[in-house]
Amino acid sequence: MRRIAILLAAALVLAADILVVVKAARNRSGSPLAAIELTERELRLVRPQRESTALFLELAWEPAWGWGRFQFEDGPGWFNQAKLEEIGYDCRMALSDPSAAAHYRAMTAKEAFAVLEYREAGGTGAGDGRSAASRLMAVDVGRSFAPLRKKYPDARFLIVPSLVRLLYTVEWDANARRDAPGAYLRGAVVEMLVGQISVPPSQRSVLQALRQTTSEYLATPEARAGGPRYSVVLYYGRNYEPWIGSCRLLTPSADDPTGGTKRTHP
Amino acid sequence: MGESSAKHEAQQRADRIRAFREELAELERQGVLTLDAAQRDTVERHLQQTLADLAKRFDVDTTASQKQISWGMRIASTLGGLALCAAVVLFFQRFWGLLGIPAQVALLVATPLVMLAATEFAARRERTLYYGSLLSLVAFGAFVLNLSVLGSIFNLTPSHGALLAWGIFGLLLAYAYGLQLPLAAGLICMLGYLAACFSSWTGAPWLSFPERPENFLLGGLILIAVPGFRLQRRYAEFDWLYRTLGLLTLFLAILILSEWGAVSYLPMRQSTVEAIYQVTGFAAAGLALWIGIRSRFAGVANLGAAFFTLFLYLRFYHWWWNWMPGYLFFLVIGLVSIGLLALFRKLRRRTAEAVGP
Repeated sequence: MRRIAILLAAALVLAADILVVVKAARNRSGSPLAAIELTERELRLVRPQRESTALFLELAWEPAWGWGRFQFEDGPGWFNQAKLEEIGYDCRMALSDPSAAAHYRAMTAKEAFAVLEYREAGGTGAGDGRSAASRLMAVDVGRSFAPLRKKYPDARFLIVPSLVRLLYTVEWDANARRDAPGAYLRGAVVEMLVGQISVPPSQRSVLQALRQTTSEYLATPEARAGGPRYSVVLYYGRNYEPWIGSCRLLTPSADDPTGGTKRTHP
Repeated sequence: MGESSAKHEAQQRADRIRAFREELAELERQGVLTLDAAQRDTVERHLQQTLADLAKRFDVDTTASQKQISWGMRIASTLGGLALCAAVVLFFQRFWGLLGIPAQVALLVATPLVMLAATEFAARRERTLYYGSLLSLVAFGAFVLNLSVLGSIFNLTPSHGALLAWGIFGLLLAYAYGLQLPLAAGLICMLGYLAACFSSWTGAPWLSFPERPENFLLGGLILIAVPGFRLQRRYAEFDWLYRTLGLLTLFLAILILSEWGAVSYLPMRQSTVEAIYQVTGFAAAGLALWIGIRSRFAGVANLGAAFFTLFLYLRFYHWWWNWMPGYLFFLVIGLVSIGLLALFRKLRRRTAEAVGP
């Protein structure tokens, strides 16, 4: 009995590992679903722990999500109640109901495909060429990949599995700078299902030379003058999971408004 | 009967023999019972022989000091296992960047397998299983690291299947050697897996499973029921862990829902949901207390009493804290505690009467 249990445990380890490797191979087989070149603004260098030698790039998009208020408070924008209902949220309870706030705030996140549009410098909302903000803007969400790809066929749109959340937002009086009567529902893309992307050993040498993580670098005056330090070609495979194709260091160029970035097509 | 169950019973018998010897000495000291030299020799020889047999076959603790040292060894084994798990994780993180992907994968796959072999080796050498327990914990930690890091290397979407794999691995280790630490780890993973499945069935992402306490109710009930299954009777020494973990899961879920009904699946007003779970909490805690006393499950009775008291104090807080002066509130709490003490004492006396002289 003991021997069988131990053999089963060993078999379980091997089976689980084979499954993981097969899944990863399947994702990368065939031509990728998407390929895009992004810079440090969109893929931020992080190190998990002080002693760790692992390198990860974290996907960043706008509007950035935090548990507080959003950067813009002037209404739900494109991610309104209709869109929330489209991805499966039940919004039937009237917002005037006394228990509406507790009811909506307790709603869990949902899985959905987020459409992230890469906006060149000078485009709407992405700021100037040297801005540290990500140029990936969340512009739509949907339950399935295919209809979104049909709607957004251009390579500047990344369609990525994500978690979205319903937000019950109290109206904001910008003049008085305080909450106003009334509330509305809006959605937010809060997390990518694969938000941290491992830097493969073949590309590690490029990024290892950078002593600072992105958050450390962005806090320095050089960041404003120099712009992003690297660019990365990112692929998405059959399982909508990403991997890094190549990395290169960027040389600061004052007359290049995109910070040396170009898009590649799959 | 399983080997670990036999060892559990052998230890219980050794404890009874030790208690019998102490009581016999006390009776002789008080002059209630006096054995003649021949009888004492016969009894003592028999007890010595029995203890020697038990010690030889199962390596049980035959004296009080041995038992105390064993507790210390168990604690050291647990802490050592946790420290070695941390060492394995940090070692991998330290050298991860220096290895190619094939080497990373090979190292990740090999570590839990080597630790499994080491657990088996230690278990064959030492019947008390202190080293086996420590190494099994490291094997479990290495398998958790294995799947987490492989997922990170290949940027895979997190899956609750990993919780199932870890749970089964923990249970296999626990049942192979009769170890409680991998059992606890495996059961926690299984609880997480069931809750994640429940979350998925309701249309929410599995990762949101901690946000809805009702996701855990089914898992808690299953754990409480497991000791009643026929197959489980061979492993009676695990029963307390199933019951304790199951009850804790159940009571904590009910406690959260009784305070914050908005996170419930029930399509009712928040106040109605909270009222339902408040009543359920009192009923479940009372039932656990009653069953614990009737069936002599000390852990069940203690948990029932603790949560009954907690539910009661929370109600008092909600009813009275805002309008009652602080001193009066705590006076009432003190008086209620005295009342509860009297109630539990009465219950204790009734139990003693039921056992009889």
